[in-house]
Amino acid sequence: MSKQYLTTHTVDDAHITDIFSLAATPRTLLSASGSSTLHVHDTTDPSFPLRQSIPDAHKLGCHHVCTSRNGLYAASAGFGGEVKIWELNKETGDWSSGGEITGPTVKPGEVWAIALSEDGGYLASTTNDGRINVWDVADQSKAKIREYETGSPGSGSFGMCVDLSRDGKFTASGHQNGSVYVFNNDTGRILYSLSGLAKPVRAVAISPAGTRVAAAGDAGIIAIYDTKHGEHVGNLTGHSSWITSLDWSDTGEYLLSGSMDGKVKVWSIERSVCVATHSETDKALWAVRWLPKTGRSEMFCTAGANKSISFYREATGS
Amino acid sequence: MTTSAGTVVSRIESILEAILDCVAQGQELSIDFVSNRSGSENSPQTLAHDALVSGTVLTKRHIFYQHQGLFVRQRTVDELVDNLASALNVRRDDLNIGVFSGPLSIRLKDNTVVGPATGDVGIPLPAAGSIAAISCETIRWILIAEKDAIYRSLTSCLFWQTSCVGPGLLITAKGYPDMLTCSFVQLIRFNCPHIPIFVLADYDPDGLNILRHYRLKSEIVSQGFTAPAIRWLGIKSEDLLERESRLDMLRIPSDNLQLPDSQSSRENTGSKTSISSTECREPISALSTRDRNVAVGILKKLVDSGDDSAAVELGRELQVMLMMGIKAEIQWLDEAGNLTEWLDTKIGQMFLGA
Repeated sequence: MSKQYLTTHTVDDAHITDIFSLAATPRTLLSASGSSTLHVHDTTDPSFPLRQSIPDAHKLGCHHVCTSRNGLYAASAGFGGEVKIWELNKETGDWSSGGEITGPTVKPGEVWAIALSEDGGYLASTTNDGRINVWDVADQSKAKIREYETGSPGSGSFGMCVDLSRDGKFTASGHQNGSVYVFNNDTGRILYSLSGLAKPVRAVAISPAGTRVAAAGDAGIIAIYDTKHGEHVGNLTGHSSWITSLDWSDTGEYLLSGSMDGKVKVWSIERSVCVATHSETDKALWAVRWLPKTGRSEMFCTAGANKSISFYREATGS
Repeated sequence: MTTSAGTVVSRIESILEAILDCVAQGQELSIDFVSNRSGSENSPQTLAHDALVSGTVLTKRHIFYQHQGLFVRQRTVDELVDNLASALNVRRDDLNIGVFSGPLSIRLKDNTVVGPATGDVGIPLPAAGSIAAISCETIRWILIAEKDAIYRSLTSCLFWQTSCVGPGLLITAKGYPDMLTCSFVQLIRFNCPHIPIFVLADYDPDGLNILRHYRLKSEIVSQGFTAPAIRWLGIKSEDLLERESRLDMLRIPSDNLQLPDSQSSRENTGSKTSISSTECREPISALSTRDRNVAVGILKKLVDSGDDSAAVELGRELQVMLMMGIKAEIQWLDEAGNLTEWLDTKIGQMFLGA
């Protein structure tokens, strides 16, 4: 049984250049692009109006933005190497600067992909040489509290993507050389080194229950691993281009994936099949995200090289 | 004034003589040479000497690839060539860096004529100041190749003559352009503004930076005069994505996924222009940390320089390059198909679009 999704709205030219990253909160969607400005879109309004624009956030453009699951914090990483924290004012609904991660360990190029913990207290980031750093961003000092090596010190493979589990127990990272690592945050050690993709891994995502890790990239397949034994439990095949982005639905039943040929797919995890494929463009999608379910039908959005953000809604009730 | 090859040769020889004298007399070696890399002085000199004596064109890339371990990076060679020029008290231009091939005749102020370069090797570019007149009626396009290997390959198959788009001119400065090459390009732009100029560069931070240098250094600052911009032919991210990211158009150079019949199909392309490089690197590879730092450095310069459309395009390409995490050498085009065909198509498209 396939699922039906409809394009409900497309925000054309949401940015003046490629949109590289999206991050959702219960009421908003943050978008980051090659320009210096971050945008905040209101996802409670069917026309998804621009709610806030944060100018000069990243002078050279921004490649990653992420939010905490509680919707109160965001972080963004720029091409200049800087990492900024953003805080939501619950009264006004506006985002304002919550500081920057600085210090000798944050050099240009030192930080690539980022992920925030559920409460926004911790930020995980990848580096050029394959390390994964975890920062205590709730604290004023924003100190680095963990540093995972993947490979011999200073010579690991470029960390292309990272994710934290909801319960904060695991960190997962995907690398240029195709390796995927899962770390135990309690012990500060590598839990699993997962192989199998052999090509750059551009997206990793830990399932909401923390039991599965999905990884995908230039191999065009999505590999699913369990976090209990580190076993490869299946592949989702069907994309015909590099996969750039993955996101689990809130219940963990579905996985969303986006690729360089502009196609977005929804996969049923239980049945290991693709249940929907859509594309609004043949240009690269850099980010696909579910919107947190807020009572209505399930929604997701996509963005990329065509500078627009497309919103999709599940067709229900027929 | 251009220093003659003879002068350069004799200066190199006198330096070498001095070294031999020192050795013979058991004295401490001393050489008046500005270099921050000890022990490497002799090599570019020896090569420059050999090249000048034999009358061949010395290429920086040639120096580089003959001594990769010594120089590590092309940039080091660039510096050394500059240092060598200053040590020999000649201009870098006198070391025969830029070359051209094609049906272009250049009349110099002393009434000698350089070109047309219709053989299968190029002719050194004369200094812009020594040029009296250029006749480029026969040329429809100019292609600047970043790399010497590509230039040589295109020259040896007479691409300037055989291109479907019509006759053209091939130029290279073998890496980052020197002033002589840039002033030559500037002169051509000024005198023949109707001829489109294309740059073919690697899809890596240096390639994009080289394009930027050509644009910056051959800019014409003259009131009321505008020549069309120097255009970027490739390799761009779209070229790469078109062929590399599509798994249904499978073409994988060197991994285990290689299809059994791909070998034979590659052999069939033997009759086409095959560009073999002296280097053994993959035509497509992951960006190194240095690549990423260089890319960010250029991005900064582009952002600071304001936002003309050319800078915006380059900036976007650098960002996408960083996102993709890969770079590609021009050789990749040859491996992915046929470089001359690709060039014909691209130049043709540019003509139609113009």
